Amino acid sequence: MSKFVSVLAFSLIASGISEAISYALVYRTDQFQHLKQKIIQNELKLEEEKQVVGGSGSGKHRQRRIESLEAMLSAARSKAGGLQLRSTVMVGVMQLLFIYVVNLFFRGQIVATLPFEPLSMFRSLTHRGLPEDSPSNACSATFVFVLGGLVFKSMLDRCLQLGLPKGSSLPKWVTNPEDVIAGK
Amino acid sequence: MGVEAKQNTQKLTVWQKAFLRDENWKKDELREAVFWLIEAFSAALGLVFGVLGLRGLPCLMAFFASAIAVPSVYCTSFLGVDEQDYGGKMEILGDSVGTGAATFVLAWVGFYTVLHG
Repeated sequence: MSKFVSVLAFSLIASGISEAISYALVYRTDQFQHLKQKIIQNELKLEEEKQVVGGSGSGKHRQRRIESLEAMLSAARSKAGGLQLRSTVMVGVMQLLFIYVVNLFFRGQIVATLPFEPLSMFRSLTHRGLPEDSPSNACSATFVFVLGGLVFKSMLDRCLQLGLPKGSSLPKWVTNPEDVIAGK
Repeated sequence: MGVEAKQNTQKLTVWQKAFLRDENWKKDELREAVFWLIEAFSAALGLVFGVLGLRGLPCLMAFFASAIAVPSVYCTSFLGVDEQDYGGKMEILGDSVGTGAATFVLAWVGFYTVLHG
């Protein structure tokens, strides 16, 4: 259990370092802050427009305003994404380095017991660095590290709110398939 | 009295609104509340499954089913929110279920290892 906790702690530190890199390279810059404010304001306006029922300029005019706001939002997010590219590459390299270090420290060690039989496509992750004859429900440090990274990165994102507002992270065909089918 | 009530409502944080019925919610606030609900639920369910020593992929299926049902019930029955006003169930859940799944598996594996490994 101590190995499990150690790997989780290392995962938390790695996530913290990744967030610090993103902050240093992107989030604290004036350009990013300006884009972030623009996105927040446009999202508020868009939400207000969508909630308006009837009133002046309803129908086509309102639809055009909504489309214009969505286009501005899309452009701002795209530009912010471009700014974040540098930090994304750096963070990606750091994550590979962390995984390498985890494999180095915990090679051949079973850090946990899985309560399920992993699917064949996940075995390369759950059994990474473990001997061939290890039990099928043995869990490697890499698997715990990756899962921990997913959790801690998301939580840090939510707590610190340094990055962009979430917006709609899923494509429209997932969130509103009926609108896509109807051709809206 | 009505103006004071409205001003008090406007001052409420997401955490305060999460325990009150029939409040006005912005989409981002609702997604934040649902995210933390799913995280807490995932950790709790992983703990229960790990302590009870439950095994097998059906536990994972049970998690996914409940991770979608629980926030839905919370939003519609407790908060009194119509999910369609915010773009539908998936728009509110966003990427919360993915993070919740990772939390669930970590808690489940951790407690199972301690007690039954």
